[in-house]
Amino acid sequence: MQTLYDEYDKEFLAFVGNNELRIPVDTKTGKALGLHARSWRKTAGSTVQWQPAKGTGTVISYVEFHRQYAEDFPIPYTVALVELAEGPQLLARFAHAGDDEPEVGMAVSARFDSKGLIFHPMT
Amino acid sequence: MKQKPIAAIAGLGFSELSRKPIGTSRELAAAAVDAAITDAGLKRSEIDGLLINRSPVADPDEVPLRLQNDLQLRNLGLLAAIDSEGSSAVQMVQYAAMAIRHGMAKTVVCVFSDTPVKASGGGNTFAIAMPLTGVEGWERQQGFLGASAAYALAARQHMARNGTTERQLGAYAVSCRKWAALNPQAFLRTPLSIEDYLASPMVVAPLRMLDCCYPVNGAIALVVTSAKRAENGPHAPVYIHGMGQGHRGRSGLRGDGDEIGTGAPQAAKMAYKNAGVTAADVTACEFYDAFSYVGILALEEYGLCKPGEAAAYVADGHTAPGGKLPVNTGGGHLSGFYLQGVTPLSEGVIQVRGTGGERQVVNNDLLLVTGSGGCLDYHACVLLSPHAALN
Repeated sequence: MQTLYDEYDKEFLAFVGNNELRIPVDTKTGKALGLHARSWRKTAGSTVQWQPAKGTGTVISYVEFHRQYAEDFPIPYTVALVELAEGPQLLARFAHAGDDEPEVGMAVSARFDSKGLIFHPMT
Repeated sequence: MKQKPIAAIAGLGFSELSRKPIGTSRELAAAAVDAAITDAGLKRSEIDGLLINRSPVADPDEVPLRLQNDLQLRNLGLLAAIDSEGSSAVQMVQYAAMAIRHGMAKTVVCVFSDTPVKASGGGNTFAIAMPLTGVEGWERQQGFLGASAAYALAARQHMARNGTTERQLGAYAVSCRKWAALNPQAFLRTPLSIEDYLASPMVVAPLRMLDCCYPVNGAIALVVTSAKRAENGPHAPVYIHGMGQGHRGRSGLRGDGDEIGTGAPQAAKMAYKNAGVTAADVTACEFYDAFSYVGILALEEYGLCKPGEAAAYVADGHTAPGGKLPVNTGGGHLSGFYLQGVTPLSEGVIQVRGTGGERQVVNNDLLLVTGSGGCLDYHACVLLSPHAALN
């Protein structure tokens, strides 16, 4: 099925395309919003803005792909669900560093490669 | 005075079910509707409501509202497609029951039809990027593909939190296979051991192939009517005593409650309350269990096991034939067949009627039937019984 993009999606994806991770933050309270809470983008008088995230976080869960679903994603590869330091959760590929397998609770940091954002274990 | 049933299921109809192409979803839907109407001892002219459930990954025109014309159903007082993903089939029965209760219709047919297995196989039908993050397109960009991946992510959290093991996930698959062996309509009936399970290939770890549902082509329809009218039909009525929904949504924010928890407990609470029962009164379950983990989670979220205890409960054999709480007695989605929400619903009707043959449960007093859609996002359940009044 065709993906339908709003301005919200395009903006987030464009930040990542520029090697930048930004998250929605309410400038009034300083609190970050979950990426699901999209409605601020078109809410009149919203005090929420895209702001740079630290890019660090903790692994909440992860999966390893053993079945190839797409040519541009040769198996095996790992995707982790990460809780960013500011609170919001984000899914992204996980880069294995040597024998480093992901673990729930592992500290990670975001980097960028040709496919976009990828989490690396914190060293 | 005992509480009266909300409505009743009076007819159940199947099209042919197959792993091969056997026609379009629209054709199969019509076949199932006709079979259900005949099963209820009715004629097409007596149907005044039609509810349709299409697969969320199918084109809406595969089973259009024009199905009404295919069947020459005239003067319908109720016609809609219900679009709540895997919870839709149970929701159809709920909306039919409500419409009947409030006089909008007298006899409603609810149908689900799907043809996910193509001539080239069924491998790619569910290879979709499930939108979990909140940014459309993000999952595809990250290679987060396939429904299995989304459920694997949830299963891993449960494993990390509760110590759920791969062998326990396997025990659920083995339990379902034991039931399937007793069901002539089930597609996977060969005996399955834990060792067989552990030898099955990983799809998206921690989920193996045998943790995943077995899609088929086909359609199933149900006729819902008032309890009184159902009592005049050729079959014993399947009374609907409780109904609930729960849709918790996602916040994606740390500290916002228990992120593993879904809307299922809310659905359960409402259904138990309006049936005047508790989880302890449920005698068998037909869960929407597209992945092994989902069945284990449902046991906990519907209050049948304490949080974190369902995996051990399954491994101890309590959900298998001869166990104290039969679960997915036709083999469920894993070993029976995957036709989304009508798999558990049809088995619930068969069990309440007492026509389960070798797989018939001893105590069918109160069956819990669930639906679950998205990735554990949308939940609906009904409580079915052969008894017009619950004790």
